[in-house]
Amino acid sequence: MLVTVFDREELDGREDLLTRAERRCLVDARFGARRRAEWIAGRVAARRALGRLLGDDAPSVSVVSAPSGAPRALGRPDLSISLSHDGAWVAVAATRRQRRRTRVAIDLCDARHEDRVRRLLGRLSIDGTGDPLSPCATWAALECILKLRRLGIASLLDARIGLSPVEADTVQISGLGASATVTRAETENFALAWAVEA
Amino acid sequence: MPVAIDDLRKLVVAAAPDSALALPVETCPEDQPLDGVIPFSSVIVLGVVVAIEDRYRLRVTKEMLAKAVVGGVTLRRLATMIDAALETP
Repeated sequence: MLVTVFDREELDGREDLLTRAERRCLVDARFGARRRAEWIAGRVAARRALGRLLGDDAPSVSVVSAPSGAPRALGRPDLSISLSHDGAWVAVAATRRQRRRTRVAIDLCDARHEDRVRRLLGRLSIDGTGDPLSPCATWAALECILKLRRLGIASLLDARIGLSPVEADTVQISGLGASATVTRAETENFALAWAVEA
Repeated sequence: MPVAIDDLRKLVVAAAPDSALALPVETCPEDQPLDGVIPFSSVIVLGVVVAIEDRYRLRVTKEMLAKAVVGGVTLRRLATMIDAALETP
């Protein structure tokens, strides 16, 4: 699996790099200006990441939106890709599928959201063991599982969520379907969480 | 009394991590999915839930929110969700 984070400055304004299929998808979406810019940045980031994964500097694969809005590598069912945008960052996780159901998910939480996220986490029912994660790391881990399981944010409201660090960089999450292990990383700028499930 | 859409607009803007980015919500059509108006992240969605709970003194359940987000969260769907919750004894 490949996990990478791009600075939005590298990606913004590069609509010229979109494939024809991506342009069509963008037109159909009828986004507002900001969402449109975010979508373009995400596709450019996704294709760069796929280039690294596939060893191809200019992969021809198009990254379009599934009906759910999730990114999908058009015509490449052997690839699973996940995107996360926040502030100045775009995170991408991509993998070659070992099985048809293999799915990857990633979430990035900008460190600037720490106070806000702490308040939101206070609304949820979360039992933690071991050293507590930072609010942003907790949020990224939860969002990662929601994406992995294709659950909406509503799933968090009535769930009894368990968080148990397994190793320094992994945490097990229960209460949102079967327990799942999320890998995490944190910098002074953001927290990142990703997972793959077959 | 029906929830005022303009009141909801203010709640959404205030719930956004960057209020400036959320300003288009102040003028968008009430049936337009907010995901197409602003980067309507989960942080904003849950922030709106918490703000609604505080403002209207109600508890938003998983079922209520799940129903409101089908087809994309709009201001009208949020208002309908709140109205239904306020009418429930």
